[in-house]
Amino acid sequence: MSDAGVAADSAFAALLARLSADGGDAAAYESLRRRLIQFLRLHVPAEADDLADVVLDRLARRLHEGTDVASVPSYAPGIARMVLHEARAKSARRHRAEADPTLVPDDEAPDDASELEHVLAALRACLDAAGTSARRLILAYYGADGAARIATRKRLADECAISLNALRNRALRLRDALEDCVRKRTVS
Amino acid sequence: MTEATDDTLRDWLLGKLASADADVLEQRLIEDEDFAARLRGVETDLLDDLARGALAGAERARAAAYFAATPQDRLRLRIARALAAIDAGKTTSPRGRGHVHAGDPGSVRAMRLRRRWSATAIALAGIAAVAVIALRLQPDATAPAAFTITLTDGQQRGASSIEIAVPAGASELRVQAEVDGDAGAHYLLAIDDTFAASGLPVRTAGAYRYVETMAPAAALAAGAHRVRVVAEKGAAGESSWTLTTRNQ
Repeated sequence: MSDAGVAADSAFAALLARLSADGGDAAAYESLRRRLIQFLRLHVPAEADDLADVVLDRLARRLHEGTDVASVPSYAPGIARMVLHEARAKSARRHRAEADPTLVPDDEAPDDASELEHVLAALRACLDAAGTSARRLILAYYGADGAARIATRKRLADECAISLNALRNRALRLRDALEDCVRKRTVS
Repeated sequence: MTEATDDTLRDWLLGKLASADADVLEQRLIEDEDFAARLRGVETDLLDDLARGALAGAERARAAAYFAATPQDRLRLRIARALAAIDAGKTTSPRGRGHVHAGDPGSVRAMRLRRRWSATAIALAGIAAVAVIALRLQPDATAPAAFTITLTDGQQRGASSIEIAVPAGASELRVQAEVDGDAGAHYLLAIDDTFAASGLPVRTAGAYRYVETMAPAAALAAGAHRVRVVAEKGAAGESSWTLTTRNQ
């Protein structure tokens, strides 16, 4: 392994060690990365994943270099904003991003009907595989909009005897699993 | 610090918050896992609203760009559209009698329902509010008679609301609405924000052209409701009726 590779590994280990010392576990790193992506998506959705890794790399390096960081989650936004600023300042990169067809809303362009049917078939299979109660919950939780959405969720929370927050987290986990299942089934 | 509401988070995602307010939320997003989960929930609801065609104007443009940024995002949007189609099938398709089945081409149309608000539509809505309601029980050899509500463009002007008595035992209602489009045109029929059926073809009965769908009676529970019919394909404009229902 190159010196740069060794240094990067050491920095990454330093970040993990610090997250662990703060009471986090292996999932803490992934959780922080996910939140960074959420933050960056608000500004540069097409580059959010890549820039989150840049933020984490810099954060890891600072820790490895001995920078005094009182709280990693509180320190990370500063680095994220700097990375965002740099990304925006690179005009060529910005032009590429603006020209990126992935940033053009495809809402008006109809999805290919067969593609939609393909996703629909995968979704049905994944809902069946999820089991009756999960299927019921996900269709009910995500099946309404407007005022009906709020009323439906209150009723579901009452039925399950849990708080709205707990219900939301349960629904999000099911939705993540469902999307992951559809993703796997539709990858050709 | 005042707790941000879900509406505030939604505005944030739609780029409608002031920079200073957004900065505070951004800091919290990275520090607080529970807050991040809340935002993910609001984001998923926004995605579903986009997939259902429930957004308009700048909000729709912003959300469409937001959820089209990466291939993963675009797949999420397709999944949301598929979920909306299954839900539309569940809502509008009573077993064996429905108009929109999740597996047929109608379901694809259901995924793509749009709410269009054009100047023409608004003008038409004013005319359409003058309606005559006809109520009848339609005999059907294979199914229990369905209570039918027929909405037509009437001769009387100035009728702002129409009262109807719905049989207490009805579980679903047949809703027919007069349209201008020719054969081949398709329409969306929506009741408030609780029910929508899209891809409805034009039917004819003599000189009367109309669209028809079955709606759960709960969508027209006692109270005031707005029924809209919006042209989707092969026609233009929108009509709307204001109804006040009560149990019979």
